[in-house]
Amino acid sequence: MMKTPIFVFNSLNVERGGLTKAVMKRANILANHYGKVVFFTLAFQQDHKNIIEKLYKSGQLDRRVEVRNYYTDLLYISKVDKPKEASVEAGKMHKIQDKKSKQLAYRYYEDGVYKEYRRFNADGSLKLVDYMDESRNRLRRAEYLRDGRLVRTSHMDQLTNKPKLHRYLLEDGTCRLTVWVNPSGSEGRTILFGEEDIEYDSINHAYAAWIDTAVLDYEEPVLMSDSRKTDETVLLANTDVEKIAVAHNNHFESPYDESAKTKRSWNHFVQGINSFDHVVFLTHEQEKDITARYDVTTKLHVIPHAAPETPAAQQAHQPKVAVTLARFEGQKRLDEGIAAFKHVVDKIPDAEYHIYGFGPLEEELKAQIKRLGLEKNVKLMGFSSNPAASYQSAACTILTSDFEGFGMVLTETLAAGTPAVAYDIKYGPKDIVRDDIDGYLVKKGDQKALAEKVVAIMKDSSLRDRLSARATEVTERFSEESFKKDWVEMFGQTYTALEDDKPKEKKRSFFGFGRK
Amino acid sequence: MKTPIFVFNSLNVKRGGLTKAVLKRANLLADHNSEVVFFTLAYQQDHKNIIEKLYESGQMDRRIKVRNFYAELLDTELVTEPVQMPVELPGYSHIVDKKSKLPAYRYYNNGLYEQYRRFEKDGSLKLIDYMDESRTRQRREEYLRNNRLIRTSHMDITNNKPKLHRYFHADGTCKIAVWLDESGEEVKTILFDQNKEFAKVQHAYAYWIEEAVKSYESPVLLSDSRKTDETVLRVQGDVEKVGVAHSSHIASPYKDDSDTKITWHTFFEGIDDYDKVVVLTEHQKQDIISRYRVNPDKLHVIPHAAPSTAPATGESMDPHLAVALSRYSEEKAVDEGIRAFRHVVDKLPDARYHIYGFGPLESQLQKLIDELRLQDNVKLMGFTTDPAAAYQSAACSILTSNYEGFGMVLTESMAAGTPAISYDMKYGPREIIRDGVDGFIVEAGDQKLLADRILSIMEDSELRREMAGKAIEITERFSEKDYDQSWIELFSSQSKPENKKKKSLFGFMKK
Repeated sequence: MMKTPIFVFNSLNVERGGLTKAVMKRANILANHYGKVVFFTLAFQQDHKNIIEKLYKSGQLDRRVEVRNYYTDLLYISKVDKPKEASVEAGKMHKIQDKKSKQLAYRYYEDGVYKEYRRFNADGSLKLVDYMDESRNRLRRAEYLRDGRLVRTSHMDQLTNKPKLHRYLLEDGTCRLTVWVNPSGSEGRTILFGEEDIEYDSINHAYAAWIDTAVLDYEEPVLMSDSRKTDETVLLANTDVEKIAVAHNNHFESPYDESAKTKRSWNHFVQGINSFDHVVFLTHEQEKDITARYDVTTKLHVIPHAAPETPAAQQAHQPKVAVTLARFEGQKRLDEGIAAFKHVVDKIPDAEYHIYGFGPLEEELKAQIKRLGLEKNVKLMGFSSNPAASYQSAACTILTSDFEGFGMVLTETLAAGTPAVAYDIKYGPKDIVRDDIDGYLVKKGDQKALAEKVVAIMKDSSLRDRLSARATEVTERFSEESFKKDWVEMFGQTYTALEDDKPKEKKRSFFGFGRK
Repeated sequence: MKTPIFVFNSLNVKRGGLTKAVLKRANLLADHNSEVVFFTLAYQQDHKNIIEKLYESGQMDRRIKVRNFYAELLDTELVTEPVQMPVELPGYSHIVDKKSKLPAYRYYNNGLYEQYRRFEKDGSLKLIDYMDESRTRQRREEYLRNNRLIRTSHMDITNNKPKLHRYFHADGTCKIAVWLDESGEEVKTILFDQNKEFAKVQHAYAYWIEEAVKSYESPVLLSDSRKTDETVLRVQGDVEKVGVAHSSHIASPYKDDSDTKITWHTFFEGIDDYDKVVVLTEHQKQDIISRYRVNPDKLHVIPHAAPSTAPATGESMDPHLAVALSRYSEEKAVDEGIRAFRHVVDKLPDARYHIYGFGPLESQLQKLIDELRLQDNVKLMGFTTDPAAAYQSAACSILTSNYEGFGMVLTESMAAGTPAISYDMKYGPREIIRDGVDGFIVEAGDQKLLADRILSIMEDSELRREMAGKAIEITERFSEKDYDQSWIELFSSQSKPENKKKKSLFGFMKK
């Protein structure tokens, strides 16, 4: 008997963030060692089957990884190979194109009354129709598969123009599933129509009931919950099935340390923690914080992300340049790094700070740079398509985030041979950076201390060399091999390196799985 | 002969003290007046059957007639044979509502939630809610047990509350429409047969009463609740009116100079139009006289009678135990007694205080008991079904409410032979307790003195015995006989007071 790892996950897609990438990477590794690896995805995706096909085709997901979806299963949806072209004409109604829509879309008028809105896929098939009442309030949206099958209708709240009820339909037009949407947007009462109609208190109860049936198709299923959104569902599923929870982020509210309350979204995780057979953390520090606050009796593991193998620098770094790679958003607290850099410039007038990324706070950061008179020193560089080269161009990397799940940028910069100067925030820095060996840890908020360390590295090339030489040890300390071994052995198989998951993974992991 | 007519919101089988007091009085008057009538105003889906139950259970004398505004205008019948209605609805899937006490189902039409139906236990249909496709409730239909549609309520989609009620005759025509404003007040009311529109539903009630009283000899309208004052005062014509007070009219903090409660404004603005006003205590009468320009002669004091109680054997009495019977709610200020008891326990470590009742503040009170480290002394006992036994288990009873209408617990305690110690508040203690004779009166808020008084009874068995002996005199001082006589006289006196329509010089005046 061999265990079957099953990822209970909200939804997969082609363009997605770090969590989805981390989960698919793990699934691909496990596919080399287990007879069957499965995703149970829960969210409704109109184009689900085609999206999964794209993931296979692009190589992002190993074809041996099976993906099942709640709605696809219950509605007997199959992949559409031949889209059905739909006419954009609608009887005698006048149509006017919606110029703002990226996809082809029209508004339809009958005798001056706005009746319908239709949107089409690029392949010419009908995607959706919105129906309006005579005062042009939207009554409902009908969504179609590419073969022309009506798959869902959403009925709108007149006050908010948001769905209050979803209906999911079988091919013959009968309703299989009705889901009530609460004012908060959460999905509540769910009714599954069939030979016997079943009502569930919430969609998560309905998902759990489906999982209880679906797992019967697999040998020794092990359910994994990688997101706090799936904890409730996994915990509601049959208690005889083995369950694993995986933490990917900081669990505290602001200020994101042990002085703070646990985030509400973590309630199911912390309250149900002992109902999971294993709980996996990315850092020892988080494991410690959880066990300090909660009475944990279940088995705990720390499996950090692997550091990417990175070729050595091709060119010498610029000794007076520091870098950061981060999205321009609140969590990353780039304003802290910029304010600290003012102190750096006081000591080294031609020092530069290159910040690679993009995001909503761009204008605010620019204004701050101007206010501090740092236009010549601090530069917003835009998105870096070659993170290794960006790190290797600098004397050091700065991290001043409020919080991180792991701080992948730290292992990335160290792997590239560039020391890190980081605030000692939760989680990552303490596990990854060895103070005065391959970088520095500075008390959160201490801009002066941060500046001093940056200045020290910029001014003292022998120090920078010393730190840099040790930094690349990160690929041993956080090796791909031990990552694979830990995960493969989690499900009982003994890990032996396979040709299959060696070379490809390494390269892709950096450029493919790197921060976006 | 005069005809007492109680203008009352609604009667029901399980009700609080006010309904009980009013029914008791109506039953009494039925023995002495040829006709006694209730005019009830509120819509009750099951009105006729509720009244029948009150007769059957003996809570209301069959000689008392009950007329209801809606029942009369809609010609509502007493349903003796409920009509069983099927739960199934062709073309719909139905799913039981697990949270409903009565059988209820949601009806789905190919996945769209279109109806909600609730049934009575006897299998008849009670109501149907109709939803639009986004499951927003459009309207509710309510049925009599014979499946006659009696009311539809049309919902405001922004708050899911009724904006319009329509009331139907058996022939399906709408007889009454009532608009509701945003606060839920029933305002514009249209009576279609009469071709009349009223600005408020109370005006329609008054219009109906004006017609309805014509069939009675010398009708006397009683307003026992401040909710009915507006209706009663609006009734025109040759009708006598009596206002009856059951509670204190003084708002927080319940002192001589505190405001009058908003709910009482209509009563005092119209007090000149009441021929008689009945209050429970002399104290309240004096407060009204000193605050409002009102002829003292029209104010009558008729207290509640003390219940006759089997005498205490004294065997089960614990000399170091005090009791209180009270809801665990804000106005009863149960915390005052608990705090005072800290002082009692300081002097008398084995003293105990049992508080019988229930209510929203239970956990808060328990917390206070824990904070004061009185867990071994003060106990929240829950509701008691045998008040007399509870009183008779203790050396004394304690009352620390912010206010009372009358303080029935005081007469109950004393009738059971247990002296009462009470804060001096409005209204009741001053008239019921004879300070130092059958109990003690303590200035409100003086926890130390309260504790001293409790200790004096607990530590002096002779004093306790003396007071207990005096306490039972309460059944003479507040006798059933006096109560009956006062009310009977109120409806037998022939002439109306002289100043009936003569408004006082300054009209309504508030201090």
